[in-house]
Amino acid sequence: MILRHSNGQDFSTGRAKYHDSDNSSQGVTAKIYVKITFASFGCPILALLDTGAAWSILDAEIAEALDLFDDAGEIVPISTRKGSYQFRLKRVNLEILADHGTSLSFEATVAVQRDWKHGTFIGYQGLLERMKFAVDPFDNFFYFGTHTPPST
Amino acid sequence: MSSFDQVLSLPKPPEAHDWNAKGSSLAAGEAQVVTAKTYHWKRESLLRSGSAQGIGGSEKRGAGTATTPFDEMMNGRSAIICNVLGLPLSKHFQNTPDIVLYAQAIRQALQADRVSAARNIFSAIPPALAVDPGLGSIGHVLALPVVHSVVKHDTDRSKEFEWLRTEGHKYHGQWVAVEKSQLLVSAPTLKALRSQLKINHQDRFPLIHRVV
Repeated sequence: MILRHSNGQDFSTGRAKYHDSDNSSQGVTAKIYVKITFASFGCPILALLDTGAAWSILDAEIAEALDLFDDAGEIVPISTRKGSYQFRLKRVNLEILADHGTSLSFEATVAVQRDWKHGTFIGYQGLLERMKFAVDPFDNFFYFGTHTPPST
Repeated sequence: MSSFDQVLSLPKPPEAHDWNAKGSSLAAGEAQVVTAKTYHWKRESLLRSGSAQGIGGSEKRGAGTATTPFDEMMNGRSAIICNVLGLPLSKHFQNTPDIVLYAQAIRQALQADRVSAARNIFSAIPPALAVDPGLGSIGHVLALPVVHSVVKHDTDRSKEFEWLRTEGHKYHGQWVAVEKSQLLVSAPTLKALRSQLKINHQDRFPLIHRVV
């Protein structure tokens, strides 16, 4: 369940089965959806893992449920499959959920836009950049953990 | 000396001693960090008192413009900061306080998708400026994510994923709440979905997804 470095140190502390649907408008190739949640939300939701995305993006209806549309926050342009949009950057608390082991809790920066109704994305900057992760495409497992500085 | 050290140790402005005489806080040799607030206060006070005319004789009135040695120093500073931050030097930046230049540079980096560069610029901002609420809010979203493990986990959702694979396409554009192999609720909006879940399935923790 836990992946380890060759020196015995843990690489991951949690693991979750991921959804790899290719039956969506996000493109014809299979995409990796992982489970996330927000403190005020309760239920898990699916977010598309996109290591090429500069920022994580929340679906507008999720952002609305989290009260993130207050016209504050830096504006950044993001080019997407659905066109270019001006998003606002927001700091939120979210969790990447494990089926086994421990989940990861983040205070992270995400991008929100009132017209973005094309799903939720987990991107590199502001989120993935501070966690370790690995994908097992044979069993659809997503492994993840925090970075632990090497012990001296 | 780094580029930003260079910004912070600019040459003394001419006639700095005169400003001291007027009770200026911008003393010769003092760290020359200028916020928007202090900049406008200093400039206005010099013009209002008329003392600017006596400082180096560079006061120029007329056509709605007035220049003090303070402006001249700021123009020089602006030129150097623009150069360091890679901003085009134009009239737009003349008399622009440091705080605005830093914000401008960070925003330009963000617009160009250069997040690391934006973070580097922010980290080079002198502490006296970084406390400004405007820059602080930029720094807040530029900050690296904070992450830690939590003893909490969800159940295996393989059956929900299978439902999405086989049935999901029938609900294109809808929000769905699925538990095991069963669709609990579908709705056109997340708000409607959560409302129905609250009424009919309050004790359930389904997987929620917008089928796109």
